[in-house]
Amino acid sequence: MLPFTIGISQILVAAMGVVVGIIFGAIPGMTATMAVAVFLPLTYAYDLETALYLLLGLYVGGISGGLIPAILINIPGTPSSITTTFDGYPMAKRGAGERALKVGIVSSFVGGIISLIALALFTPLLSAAALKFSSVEKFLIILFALTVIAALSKGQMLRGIFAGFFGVLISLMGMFSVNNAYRMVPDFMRSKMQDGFQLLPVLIGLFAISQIFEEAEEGMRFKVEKMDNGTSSTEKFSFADFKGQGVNLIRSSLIGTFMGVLPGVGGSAASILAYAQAKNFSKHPELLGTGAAEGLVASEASNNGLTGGALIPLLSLGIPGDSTTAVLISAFMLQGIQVGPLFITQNPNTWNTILVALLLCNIIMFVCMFYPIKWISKIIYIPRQRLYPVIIMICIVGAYATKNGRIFDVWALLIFGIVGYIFGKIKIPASCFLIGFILGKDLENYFIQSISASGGSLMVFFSRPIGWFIWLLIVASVAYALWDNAKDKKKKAAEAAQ
Amino acid sequence: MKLKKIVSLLLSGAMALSMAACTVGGGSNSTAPAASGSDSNAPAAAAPAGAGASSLKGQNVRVVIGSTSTSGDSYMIADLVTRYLSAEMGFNGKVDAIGNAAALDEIANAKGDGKTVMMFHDMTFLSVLFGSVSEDYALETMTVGPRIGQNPGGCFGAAAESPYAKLSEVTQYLIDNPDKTVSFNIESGATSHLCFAAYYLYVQETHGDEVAGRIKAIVGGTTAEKLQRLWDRNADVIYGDTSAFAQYTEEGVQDQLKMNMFGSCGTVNGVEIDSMADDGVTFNGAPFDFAKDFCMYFPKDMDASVLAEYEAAMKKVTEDPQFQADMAKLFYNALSADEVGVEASQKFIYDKREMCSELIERSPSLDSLT
Repeated sequence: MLPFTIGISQILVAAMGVVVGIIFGAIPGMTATMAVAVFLPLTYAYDLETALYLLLGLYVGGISGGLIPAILINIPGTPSSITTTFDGYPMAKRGAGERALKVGIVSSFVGGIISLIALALFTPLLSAAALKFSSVEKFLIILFALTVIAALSKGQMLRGIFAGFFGVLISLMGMFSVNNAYRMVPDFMRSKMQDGFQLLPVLIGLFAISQIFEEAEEGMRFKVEKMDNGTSSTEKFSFADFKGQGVNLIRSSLIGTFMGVLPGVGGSAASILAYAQAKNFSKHPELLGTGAAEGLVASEASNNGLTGGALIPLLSLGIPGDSTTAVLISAFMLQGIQVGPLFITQNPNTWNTILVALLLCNIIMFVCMFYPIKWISKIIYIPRQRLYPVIIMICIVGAYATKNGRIFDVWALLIFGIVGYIFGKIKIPASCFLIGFILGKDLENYFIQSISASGGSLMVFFSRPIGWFIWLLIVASVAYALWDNAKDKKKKAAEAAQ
Repeated sequence: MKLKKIVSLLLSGAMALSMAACTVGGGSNSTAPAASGSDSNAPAAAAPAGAGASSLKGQNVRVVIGSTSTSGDSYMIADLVTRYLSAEMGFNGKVDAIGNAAALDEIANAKGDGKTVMMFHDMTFLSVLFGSVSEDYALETMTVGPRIGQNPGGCFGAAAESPYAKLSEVTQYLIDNPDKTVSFNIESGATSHLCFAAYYLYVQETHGDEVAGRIKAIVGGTTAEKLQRLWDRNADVIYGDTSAFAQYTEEGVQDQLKMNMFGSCGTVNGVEIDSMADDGVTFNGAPFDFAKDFCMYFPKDMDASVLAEYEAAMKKVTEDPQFQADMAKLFYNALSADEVGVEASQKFIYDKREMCSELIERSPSLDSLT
């Protein structure tokens, strides 16, 4: 008898989960977390093992599907696909959409498999490591992730840093949980903005709606620079695209996995951090952001690396690694099973089933995305005047669904669409604003936790060896960005002089 | 040309689907009563097919809860009750976890036709008493409906290596060690805040300001964040649910994670734990227990006949042995038919609010305890 559960029904359920997850991930405003939450009631009718096949399929598919709109229409399907747009969309615009999608899918697959290996072999070790990361280290990691703003704002550093801080400020709107006081919220908006602006309406407003405004202003001109249908040998996908990317692929997958292991740090931080490191270690950092496969590899490997990583604290400590695994807890609870420190030893069959299910879901994800993607990539050639009305409608539905049906989130979508449009006009990088917005709440949360535990002493941030190491990375990352920016300015000045 | 037509057709279809999605109340999709013939032992799987007759038969009913979590007690109880009521009254009920302020706002603006219900615990009125939301959302602005269940599982927890395993031992520790403080990680404006305040007032009353003054509060965080604070030893005592803490009390758990739990809000079936009252904590001279009471709330102008239908259905549901078993599996208490009656529920909830109001008035501000 096999030490895990698998059968035709489980394989079919996993395939359904992956396909539906990909669709959720590909729709702006819908996420893997929503997919798992929506399908949770369906699992009442299943045993735990079958339910896990379905939910893990939704999780893997949901995380992976986000790359499709990120690459083809510059709209991240999920928050963790933000960095995918940086290089994916420029590639699609120059007629290499299919190639970009395939690079992303292969990277996602590798990221998922590396995180699965980490889950299978190193769970006790990694959960012990996670316990060594207190609020101090988490604050420093978030700070480290924020340094990507400096790297992304090359040539306009002041604007980028302003946008980043502005994003942090806006993320702090709403009720402060420590004393229930409202911050930056007028009295009449309190019931709507208890939790401030939600990430998804902000994200799709800034990326999708503002882009539609911009293109409407320009008359919706068809913008693909080269319609070679992927037949040009230079823009056709081949596994040679990964030549020289081995280290990037493994490093980014491991960053994603480790960010998943740290509860409360989040998937977006993983892809941001991996992208920043890809840029820092690249031989041609100037190419990242212009359509380099390197950036795409970093982003996609890390956000799928998160899947196995986030299950580690869930299954070994009983605390979820990200928002999706937080919903997965319900599936276990409904079946009367407690996930926590004794879960693996007390439920060996379920544990093995999780590993097999995760492997199967990654393989199904690869097959379901890699081969049909040739047809999906044609979306880029659909005239904008036909595509955008549908995108607007889907974005509105996505925003409306963010908090289970609030019209305020649709208004937020529109507001941030206008904000993004204005940002474009005054040349403020929306990506920097968004990174500040995503990381702002966690930054404050871990800062307060650290300070309250230390009795108000700021020295707590310099008191632990792991913290010193992260400080070193922060300083090195900022110094490198400053040096790179100065070098770029010098080069531009020299070119102008000539 | 043909491709263009196909693309246009597909895009139109997508738009139509999107519009259809928007027209479903609250973005909800209906949840049919649980499937029959299930091989699962899940509590919810056993919801029976009831009479299915009411004025809401075949309609979509949106159940909002004041939490955004789908793994906490609010969702679990609301979801279970909704499925049983769906079967009993024949409607398609769906629980939406939209958060406290949003849920109160929803009820304040909904029609009193029974198609929008809030199912939530004492935070409904505690959030007004603590000032988290305005008086516009006081109980008087809505209709208190039938109570649906009770979770007595809120409790305190401390690291197993700490010198106390009961609230009375925390007090003794503070008396024996005048240079020490004990920090409690709680949430502002929530049940944990109220239980902490009751304990603080009890210590102040019985041992004076000096001992009580060394009880400190750390505010905020989910259960996961509180556990991490405990594991980091950044908090001495945390507040959570017995169902979340129980696993860390078992043999075989590593030392850093191992903990004791104590001072629950009432008797928890199947769990060996002293309640606050068992441990001697009193308020106004009476033993203090504070189980979370879950109740249905409707708009102010609620249709009396529909309310009566809900009451009758809830009375049937709460007497159903399968429902009682499902609640017990989740460590929650089902109530008697008399307790869920609207009149009894209203009296119970208003009395409880009165007691809480007095306790909050007497307790010090958290700002002075952090």
